[in-house]
Amino acid sequence: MEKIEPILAAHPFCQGLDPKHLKELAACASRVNLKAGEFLCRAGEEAGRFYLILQGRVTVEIFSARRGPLTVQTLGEGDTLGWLWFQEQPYHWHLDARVVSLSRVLSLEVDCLRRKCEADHDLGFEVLKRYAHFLAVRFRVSALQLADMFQA
Amino acid sequence: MQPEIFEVRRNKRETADTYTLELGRPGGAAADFSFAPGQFNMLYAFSRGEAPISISGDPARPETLVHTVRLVGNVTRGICKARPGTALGVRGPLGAAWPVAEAVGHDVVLVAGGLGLAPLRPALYHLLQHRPDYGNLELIYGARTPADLLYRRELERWRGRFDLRVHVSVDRAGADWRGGVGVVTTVIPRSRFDLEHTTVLICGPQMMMRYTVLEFLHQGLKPEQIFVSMERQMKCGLGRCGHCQWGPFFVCKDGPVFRYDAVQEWFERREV
Amino acid sequence: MASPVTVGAKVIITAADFPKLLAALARLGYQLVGPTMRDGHLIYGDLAGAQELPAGWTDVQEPGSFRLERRSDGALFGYGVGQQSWKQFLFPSRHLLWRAERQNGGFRILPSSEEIPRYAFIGVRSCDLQAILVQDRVFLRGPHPDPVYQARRREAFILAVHCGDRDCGTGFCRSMGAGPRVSSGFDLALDEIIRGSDHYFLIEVGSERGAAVLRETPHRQAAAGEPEAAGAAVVRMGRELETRGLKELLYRNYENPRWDEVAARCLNCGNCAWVCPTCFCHTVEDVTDITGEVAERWRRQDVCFTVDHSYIHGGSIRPSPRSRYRQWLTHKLAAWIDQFGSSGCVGCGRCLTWCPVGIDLTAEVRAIREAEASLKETEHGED
Repeated sequence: MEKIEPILAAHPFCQGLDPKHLKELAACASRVNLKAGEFLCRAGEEAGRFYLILQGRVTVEIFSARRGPLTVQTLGEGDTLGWLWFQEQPYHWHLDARVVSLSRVLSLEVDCLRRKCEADHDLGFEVLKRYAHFLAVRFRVSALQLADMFQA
Repeated sequence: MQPEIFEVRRNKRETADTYTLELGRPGGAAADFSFAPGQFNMLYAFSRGEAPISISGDPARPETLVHTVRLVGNVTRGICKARPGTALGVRGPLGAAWPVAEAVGHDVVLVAGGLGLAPLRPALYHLLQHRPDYGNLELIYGARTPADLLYRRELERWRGRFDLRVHVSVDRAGADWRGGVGVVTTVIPRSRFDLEHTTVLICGPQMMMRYTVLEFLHQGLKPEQIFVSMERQMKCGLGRCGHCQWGPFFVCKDGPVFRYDAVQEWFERREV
Repeated sequence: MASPVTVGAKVIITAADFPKLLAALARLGYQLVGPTMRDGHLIYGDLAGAQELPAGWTDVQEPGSFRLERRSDGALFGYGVGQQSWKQFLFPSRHLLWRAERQNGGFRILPSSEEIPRYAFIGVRSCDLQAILVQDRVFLRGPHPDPVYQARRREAFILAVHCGDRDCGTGFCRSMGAGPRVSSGFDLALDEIIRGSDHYFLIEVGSERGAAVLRETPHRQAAAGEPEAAGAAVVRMGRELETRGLKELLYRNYENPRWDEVAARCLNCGNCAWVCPTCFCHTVEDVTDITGEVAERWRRQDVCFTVDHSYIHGGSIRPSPRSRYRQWLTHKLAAWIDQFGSSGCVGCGRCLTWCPVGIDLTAEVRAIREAEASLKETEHGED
């Protein structure tokens, strides 16, 4: 059974993390393999997991009654999906993430991450620093998508 | 400069509003039209007027003159609806071309947005025909939806090649789209190119070009390694009527292809 | 009477003999065009002879205002420039480029054949002569010189007039190195001198063509001191434009708040561009007859003040009036230099005179310089 730490370290989200912090994260992580058609998450469910995609292809979709599932993003190797919601009340997914072709992901338990970050603020800072960067890029890209650069 | 008469041989509908026309000379004669990738012609539809349209065919095959045209007004309606046998006027080739000779020895990344693949296709043909002269070749192509993608069959063929990497991404799609979804700039970090010996050719809507350039600069490329193709209203195509001015540049004559470092200050200005 | 006349010679022609000069031009096959009064307006039109020049008239010009007044003498060239310039003859505001006729399922193009007019421009001021030289660089350079302009320009005879002893209400040609005296590019250049009852012209020969015309006209050699006396006449100009670093100044100040200030006044009427002797923007119109069998392509003068001017599918590049005034001014004074190697402005003053709200571009440039300077002061002051 391959150790998780080197796999974590190789993922862009964990770039530059101290080995002792990697060890902490590894304790919250498990490897998951999903087949095409399976879902990483469904809209409405509790967002209890944070995913680092290692390999494969996942579509992020919003379901529309009239138009069916609308893909707003595709994820692949090196991508990230999820909410590091460290509040009391759990967060809920508002999108579906469907596996399109065989995918291997690292699934991190958000609650586990929260407890560890509360206990070790240095770890918390490193994790949230990377999460903030991820959100900033997502926001910029979504704004661009919304602006519809191909309009007219 | 008067138009020369050409004849439509073939008219293929690419998308809901875009058509690819193949032209030859009247009487079945070959087009015999030489051009450099990135150049355009002023196409004339009888009594309607002229429109500047990039040449989208293979520069190594001058026997057929190919144009991909989007229907946006009266003149382009006359051009797009021209059935085989219809005469059209052609003035050109006009404008500055993609630097395919200067890029020899480099990796080349082509980034196309929407209709922007049409002016880039001649460059891609050239690069593929002289494949050993270039390093890594990447085509990044973005459009609004899968229905807006041009040259679908050709895209599939290009994807099948071992010496060209093709990334296609749309802004949104239905469940039957098996390709990438996400703005085209998100593909750029996945592309491979040498930081020192790379030439990037970009063509698409202004907003798309702006963010694409930013992403490449962010990745570590320099402005002199990036080329863009600009669009402005054109009436004469010769740098004289004044309509295509962009700061000190006449887009029809100094462009439409510009090296980014030469125009960087104007690119970032508004309403110029 | 007749003496060897060569390029560079300076001769005197009396006012009484002056009409013979124009008659000689007419005999040589030139179509005389120049300043004349028509319906109470000073225009450039066909001249049958010197008798149709606006003798005894002068102009009073200020930003937003043009008035004609009677002079106390009978000077033939006692006024400045009116609304029109010589560009209407070299670069006609409406011109048929070609005709297309349907045939055999296709169509053919018939080039427009026109007789090239041989104009003699009578009374070209230095600013306007400079403007012609500026337009030469626009229309004649490069691999595609404009055939219409080129043909007319080659034929055109230029009888220039030095400006002297007058108030130029809105001009600033001195600042632009465009006057008030002509220096080159003319066939003949004259000073009009009225001293008491003496009324005569000092004429400098600028070309062999000019010499040929002069040989047909009664004249005498200028005596020592006469050219200097003529050259001493002073033109009083009320304004100047600082041109040092002007291109860089304007390029740096695209977001200067002064543009908002002038945009609040500018009507975007385009008068300035219509009357400017160097503006060259034009458009093409494709029209067809009622049968749809014959199409014509016309070239038409245009200005950059319309929203249409920069329209491409999806919208106009310059949707705001502010951006369009800025485009006109920065093109004229800055971009033109990069495009053609010299300024596009000759300081003729027409854009000030014919602006309905009297915008003065020399004041606008000064305001931008000052706004930039005071902004720098504020920044340094906070150190």
